[in-house]
Amino acid sequence: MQLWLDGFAIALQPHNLLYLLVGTAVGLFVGVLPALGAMFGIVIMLPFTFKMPAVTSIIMLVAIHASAIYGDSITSILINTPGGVGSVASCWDGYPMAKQGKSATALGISTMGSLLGGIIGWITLVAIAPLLTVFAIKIGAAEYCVLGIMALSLLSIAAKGETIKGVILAGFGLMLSFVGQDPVEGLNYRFTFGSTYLEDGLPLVSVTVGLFALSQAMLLVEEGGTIAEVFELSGSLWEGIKETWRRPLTILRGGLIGIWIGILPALGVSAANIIAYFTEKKASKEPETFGHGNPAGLLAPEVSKNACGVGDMIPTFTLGIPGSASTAILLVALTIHGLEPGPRFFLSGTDPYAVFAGILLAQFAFFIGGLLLARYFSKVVFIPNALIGPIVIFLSFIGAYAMRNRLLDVLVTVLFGLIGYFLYKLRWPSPCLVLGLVLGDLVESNFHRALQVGDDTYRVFFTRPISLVLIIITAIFMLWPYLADAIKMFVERRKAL
Amino acid sequence: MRTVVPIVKSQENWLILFLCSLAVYFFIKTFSYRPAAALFPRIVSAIVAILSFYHLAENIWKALIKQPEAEITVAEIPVCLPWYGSFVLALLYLLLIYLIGFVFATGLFMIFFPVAAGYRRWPVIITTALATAILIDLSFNRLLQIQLHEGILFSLFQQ
Repeated sequence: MQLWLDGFAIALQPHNLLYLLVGTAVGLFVGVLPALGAMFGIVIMLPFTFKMPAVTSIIMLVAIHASAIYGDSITSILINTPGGVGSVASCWDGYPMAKQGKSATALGISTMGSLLGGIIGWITLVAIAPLLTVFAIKIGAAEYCVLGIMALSLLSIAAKGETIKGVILAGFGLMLSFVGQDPVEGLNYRFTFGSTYLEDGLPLVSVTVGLFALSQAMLLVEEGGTIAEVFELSGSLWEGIKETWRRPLTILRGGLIGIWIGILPALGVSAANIIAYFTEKKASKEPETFGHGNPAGLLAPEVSKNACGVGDMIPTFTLGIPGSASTAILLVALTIHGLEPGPRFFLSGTDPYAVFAGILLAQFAFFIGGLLLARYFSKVVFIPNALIGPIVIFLSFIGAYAMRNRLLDVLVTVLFGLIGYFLYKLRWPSPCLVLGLVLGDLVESNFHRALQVGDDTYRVFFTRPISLVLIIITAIFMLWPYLADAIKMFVERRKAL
Repeated sequence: MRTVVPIVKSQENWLILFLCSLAVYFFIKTFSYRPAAALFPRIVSAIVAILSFYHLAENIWKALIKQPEAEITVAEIPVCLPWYGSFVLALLYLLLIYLIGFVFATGLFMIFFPVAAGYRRWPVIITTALATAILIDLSFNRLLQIQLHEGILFSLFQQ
């Protein structure tokens, strides 16, 4: 208890609160811009944190994460354009509400629902994280290796209809992580093409900034114009807050779905948002009103999305396995600032508790920011893309350079920006590549440790119960689309007989 | 909704071919490393090579068996600045940073990029460029004390 009080005392220090507000403002700004989500915000602001104390920087980054996830919905509601993949379902009833002259009411539902989702996620994080840490201490190298592969597989499956592309890109990400000194013996420089620059490996921040920020700048400039021409804010925010409290079961259902999807490695807010919508529609007594401005159809995905956003952090902090691509970057930030995610996380004194306190404060910060400023931040969509583009490119360059003060890192960003552009155009799920790159070292070193334990045979992965269960779960998820078809055909044949 | 300029689907095959070739190169290269350092990359590169070859073959097969379609006219979406324009400007920006440093290069970039993208409101462009350059200097060089690249030309003058 004392550690928690100390944690809150640290998080509530004036400079931490100041950076919390800065993070919230940045998160709202990038959240409102379509296609620039939480990951973009974290990547862009990461270099600004290098000289900050560890707790302050993580608090700022989690504030960006929370408020960008919330901010994504503002344009979904106002102009029917999802701010990110996590707010697609928020358009389905949010925009019809706006068309009925209730846009402020819809924003009220979104803001209140997001706060409640975030609180549900935080309570679960606080309750589960210590238990999962105990579990994490007990699991061995084989389980860690399989968990990493499971995260990569699940993310590939999450790329609907593009599983094979996801697996290829996850493998490509792993291949990129092999560049540089080998993590097993440290005796080989691998795949460096004779370049001394590559001996340190590919800089993760540069690759990520290129894939997600620079590529988006190229896309925005290509489209030209502005994101929206007009929108009108009408109705009452307060009415939206009251609407939210009238639906406790919707909040509960959305929260539970969000948490469950968040805890599963690599299934992110996009899945949580959509699954919560359809679950709510199924549970509703008036499903025919969904898609025509039913408040429950907006509330459920909003609660679920933000619960998932916090739930994503559970495997990140406790196992060191990121729950999504944006928490993969958060994992990098934790490591840069000397906080060790994984089983030893809670042994780092009061810092972890201050970070957790910061996560809760971030929920309230975006709630207040949303109520007071959402209408102003939403005007970002009127800025011409020809101006947003160069600003994003400049921020990408600064981000890539500031990590190691090397201009070659910026060149890497430009090259990966081009790759990211084509991956986006061809609808290849680039988050799989980043997760592969982030998890490469962890998976490879644990793969070798497991083999050493198992006398150089692969049996070790199948004879340890947890490892075997994880392999079975991964296999079921991977094969489910095919199994579902087979089961459907079998049932139809039985019916026909 | 956000309009995205379409791209020719067949270009995907070039991407797959690139990934497949890289995976094959990685696979072959592993034989020059010590066994422990080679094992995992060998497994991963083999999987990537097989899957990308399979996906490529699938794409080609689908294209071969596809029924000839009636001619479809696709309305062209006007492009503000194509990807290669942004790419070249980004490379030039990098070159400028190398020569004259971050602060001045950013100022120039913030002027020329919007113009190249067809934006002509000069007061806005100049204000944004000046504000960005000043912001970099204040936030990085002074507040965060992160030493940004000053450019080799300035270094030469200082010598």
